[in-house]
Amino acid sequence: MNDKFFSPPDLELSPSEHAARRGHLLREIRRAAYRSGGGKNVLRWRRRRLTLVAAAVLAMAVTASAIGVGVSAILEARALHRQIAERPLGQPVQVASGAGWSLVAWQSNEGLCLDLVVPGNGATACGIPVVGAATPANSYAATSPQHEVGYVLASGQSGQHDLAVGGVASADVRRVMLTLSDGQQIEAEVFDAPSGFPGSVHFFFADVPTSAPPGGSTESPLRSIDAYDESGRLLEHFGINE
Amino acid sequence: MNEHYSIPRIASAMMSNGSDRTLWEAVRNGDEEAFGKIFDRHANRIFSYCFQRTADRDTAQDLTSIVFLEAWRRRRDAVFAGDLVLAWLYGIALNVLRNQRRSQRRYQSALARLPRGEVQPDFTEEAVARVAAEETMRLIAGLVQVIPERERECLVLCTWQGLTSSEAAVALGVPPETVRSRLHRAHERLRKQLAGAASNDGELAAGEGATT
Repeated sequence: MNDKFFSPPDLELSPSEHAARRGHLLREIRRAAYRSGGGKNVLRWRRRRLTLVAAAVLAMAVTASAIGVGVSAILEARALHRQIAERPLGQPVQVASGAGWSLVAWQSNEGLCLDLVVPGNGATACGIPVVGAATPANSYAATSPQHEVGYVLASGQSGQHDLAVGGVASADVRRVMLTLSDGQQIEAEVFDAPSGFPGSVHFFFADVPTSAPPGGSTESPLRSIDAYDESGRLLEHFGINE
Repeated sequence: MNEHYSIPRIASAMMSNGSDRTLWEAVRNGDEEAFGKIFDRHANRIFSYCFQRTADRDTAQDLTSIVFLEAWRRRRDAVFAGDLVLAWLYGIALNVLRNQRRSQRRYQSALARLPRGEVQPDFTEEAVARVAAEETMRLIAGLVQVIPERERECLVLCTWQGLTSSEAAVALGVPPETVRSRLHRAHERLRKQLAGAASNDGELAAGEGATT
């Protein structure tokens, strides 16, 4: 019996499953490429154009020197990705960044999207139902219960970010406290949205250091997120694994 | 510690048409066929990992598709462990699993285009085996819940998936020494848990014997 715990079922895709998934994957990739205007040449042109957009964003950013992760790469990826998942309604904008991480946000037909990028990895979430996020009517986010905070988790691959948490909060939120599954509390850094960003929101980021004690017994390393206003009043206790 | 349990499965993803690193140069430049070869090499490992984390074969298949769609999207950020890109794919899978509900919703339209008819239906024997595997996995997943998440990730990657501590370190974004110490703690907790369960079973059996 004990062996099972050290060697659990190890399944493989059947040949037909493998073939179906492989074909689907390649079709999705090609579909995105062709629908975005043609073959590789068009995409190459698009990359150049998007890189120019990224350069403009970078030039406008006051904290240009603090930008650690390539926004242009995100924008390039977005051009290809847009036909696969949600439809962007605006350009991705780097809304916050620090040493080795970057938080990018944009509006989509599903609602606000967040892309948290850490070295060698990242995670994306779309349709985040946060108060004040200029969510399109009838989108997933608009038809979901509204919250004061929304988040995305990512592990990095540089040893720098064991676990990174990026998120968006309503305009009233000034302080964000994360409670890890082991009870440890970490305060997130809160950022104002760049001027001109649709809606009225803040963004936040927290780096859970590698020296932090291991989490509890729940699936997510996050137990909850507490959002406070300027006077210290709790606006929302967002339970994740409690 | 982990090397003791390490299974050289990654070696089974050996190269027939060049290393992952060589192939990935083409992938980076948008070569879909090269990406198809990467899928051929590593899809089963990612599927197995997703299954062991979800205990659901259908969900694991969808998550595998999402992992590779994400990998294509992030192909310029790939990190290699030696010449293999597999550890990086595990890292993507980890984040997809962490954000599972939103990931699935995000790729809902792409997944809806999967022609399910291409997959041959299970024969009865296979279906029974599948249900048994899912039940076993659910049982195991329930029992390893006593292990803290970070340690459990190391257990799954190193002990169940056969990664070395260096490879798991790439996937988890922590130093290899951290992986080793977490894995050690995970094994200790698991042994205690299993010993406790066996002891309880013994006491229960003894108690039952006394009443009959």
